[in-house]
Amino acid sequence: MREQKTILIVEDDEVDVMTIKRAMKEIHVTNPVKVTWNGEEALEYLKGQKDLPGIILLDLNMPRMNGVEFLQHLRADERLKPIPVVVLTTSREEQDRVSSFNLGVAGYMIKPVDYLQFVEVIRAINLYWTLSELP
Amino acid sequence: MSLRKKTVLILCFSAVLMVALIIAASRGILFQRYVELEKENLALNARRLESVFAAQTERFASYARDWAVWDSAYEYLRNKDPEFEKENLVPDTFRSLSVHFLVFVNSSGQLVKASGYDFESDETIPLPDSIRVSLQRIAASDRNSVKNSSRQGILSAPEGLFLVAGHPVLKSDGSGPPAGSLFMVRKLDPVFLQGIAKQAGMPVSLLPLSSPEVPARMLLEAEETGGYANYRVEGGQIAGFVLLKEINGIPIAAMKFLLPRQIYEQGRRTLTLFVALFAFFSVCVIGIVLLLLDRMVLSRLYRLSAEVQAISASEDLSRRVTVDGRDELAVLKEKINHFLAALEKSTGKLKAANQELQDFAYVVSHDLKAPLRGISTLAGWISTDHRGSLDEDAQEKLDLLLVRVRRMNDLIDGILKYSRVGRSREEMVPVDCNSLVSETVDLLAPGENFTITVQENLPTLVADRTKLGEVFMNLISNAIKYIDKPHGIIRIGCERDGKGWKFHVSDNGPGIEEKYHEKVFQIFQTLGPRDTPGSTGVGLAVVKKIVEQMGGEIWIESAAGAGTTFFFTIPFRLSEAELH
Repeated sequence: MREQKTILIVEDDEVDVMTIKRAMKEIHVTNPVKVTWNGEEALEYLKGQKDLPGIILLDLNMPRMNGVEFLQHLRADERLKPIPVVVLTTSREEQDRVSSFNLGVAGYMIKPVDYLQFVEVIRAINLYWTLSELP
Repeated sequence: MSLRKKTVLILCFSAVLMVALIIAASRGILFQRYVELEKENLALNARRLESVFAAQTERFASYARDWAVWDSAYEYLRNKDPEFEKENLVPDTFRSLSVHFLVFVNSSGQLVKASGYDFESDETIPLPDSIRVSLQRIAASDRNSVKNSSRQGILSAPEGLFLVAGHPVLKSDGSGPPAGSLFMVRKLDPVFLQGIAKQAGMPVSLLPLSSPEVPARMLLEAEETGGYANYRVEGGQIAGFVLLKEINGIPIAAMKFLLPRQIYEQGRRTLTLFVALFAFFSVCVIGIVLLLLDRMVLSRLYRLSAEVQAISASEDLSRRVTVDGRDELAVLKEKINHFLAALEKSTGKLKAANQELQDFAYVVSHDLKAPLRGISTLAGWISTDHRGSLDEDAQEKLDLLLVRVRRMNDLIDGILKYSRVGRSREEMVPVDCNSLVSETVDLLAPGENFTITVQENLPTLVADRTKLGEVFMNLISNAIKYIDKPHGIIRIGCERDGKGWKFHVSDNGPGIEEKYHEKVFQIFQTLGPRDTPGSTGVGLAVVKKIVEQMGGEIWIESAAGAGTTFFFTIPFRLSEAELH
């Protein structure tokens, strides 16, 4: 993946984290991965980091600070604003989708139950991230 | 029609009715009184005219008496002294007496002298024969009477009517026996009538009884009641008639007199004024009543109605109506507000319950699916990563586990889908069912072994396109999914049925036994074996919910082995009635 930048995963489900990591491995993405377990932790991490991650994979439903709240904080911060965020969630709620896109996410993916399909989702994200011009 | 208009109409109608009644009553009672007064006045005048006439007659009678009870006249009748004639029967005498004839009849009934002079044309005139005969007859009857009294009355001759006054001729001291009779005769000419008219102060004319002007019933009435006046309206005047009788009492002519209709006119004016005043007051009273009614009732009612309508239109249940006062309207207001409050409260509760349900569905979607996905993923990894170290039995169990997980996932999706039918509201648009059905069939791609017949000219109806599509999708896909014949036949059609459309989707599949006809519409109820992929028992439940939400019904006609027909109805909407 792009310049070996860090991929930040904000996800509270351990199996999902494992799945993402495994899927990335399967499609040969070797970027360093940082996992934070909720929005607060992710913000803390981002604020203490000099080199910002290249992409954030964000779950919406998390304890303490959920994905939408995290996005609101992110967009309020000038330094963190440009980081592309792809939402990776189980929620098919229209409302979640609308508020996510209103907060400028680059993509909104539904986590498939089937692992093979999950791999495809990660492949799509990778493809997007690789091909799309970013700030 | 608004309440205000109705009230105005009712009040105006009652006012008109009242005025009409008053007019009718006043005409019937008051006006009749005036007419009677007028009649009475007429009768009074008739009597006056009669007395004027009688006075005239009496005047002639007194002249006749003066002349008859006189030695000279007595002597004249005995010896016909020509000196008497020369001295007395001169034009001046006629003029001063204003009579036309002086007639002397002696005691043996012979005409002694009949001197006639018309003082208007200043020439002598002969006495009409018929008058002479009548006078001789009267003289004869005078002779037989014991009483020496004057006689006066009217005599008719072909030449006209004559006023006659006669008296037996006596000596100046009044002693008899009578030497004969003296008659003074006056023609009832226009001059005489003018004199009468002048005295009576009203126009008088003489009419023969045969004249068409004389009311026919007058004679009858005169006989029955002795009445003399009769009544007839002539233009702006009223005509009365006085019957004139001959000397022997036979009616001979009528004197007609005219009176201005003063009383009648006055009555009419009074009445008009009265009605006008009444109408004016009615209008005033009605105006005041309307004003009061409007202030106290109508405008408030109007406001109440407007407010309720506004609330109904805005669907804002937090609003309240604000009519003031302490009457029934205020009570109504209180009640409406009470209902609104209750409605607001229950709507709020309902909204909260709906929200809870929505949240619940959300929680289900995420919280139940997350661990499921974990199970699925981990089982999949075990299955792939440890393929070599797992025996066949374990591998098979893992596969079973994965199937169950997938099914659970389908079920959860079904719940979400089912709950979403109730929550999502999409725009109602005109939907062309022809294109909708053909799109659905294309999407399902049924394959070579299916014949799908879609009726031409399916209707265009106003509906939620996505949901209607879902109905067709579920019904057609069920027909495809459960086919048990090598060649499937599916028919889709629609017809008008009362107040809506009746669609049908029929197949030649296994059919559904009647005892399951209700059950298949319940959620998670399937007739196939468990774990059939894609068969969660949600589809028909969703279809039923959508159809019922559109105000329609769904039912099955089927028997085991004979195929199934699903019927569903969609009632017309107002806009749809315009579409067709």
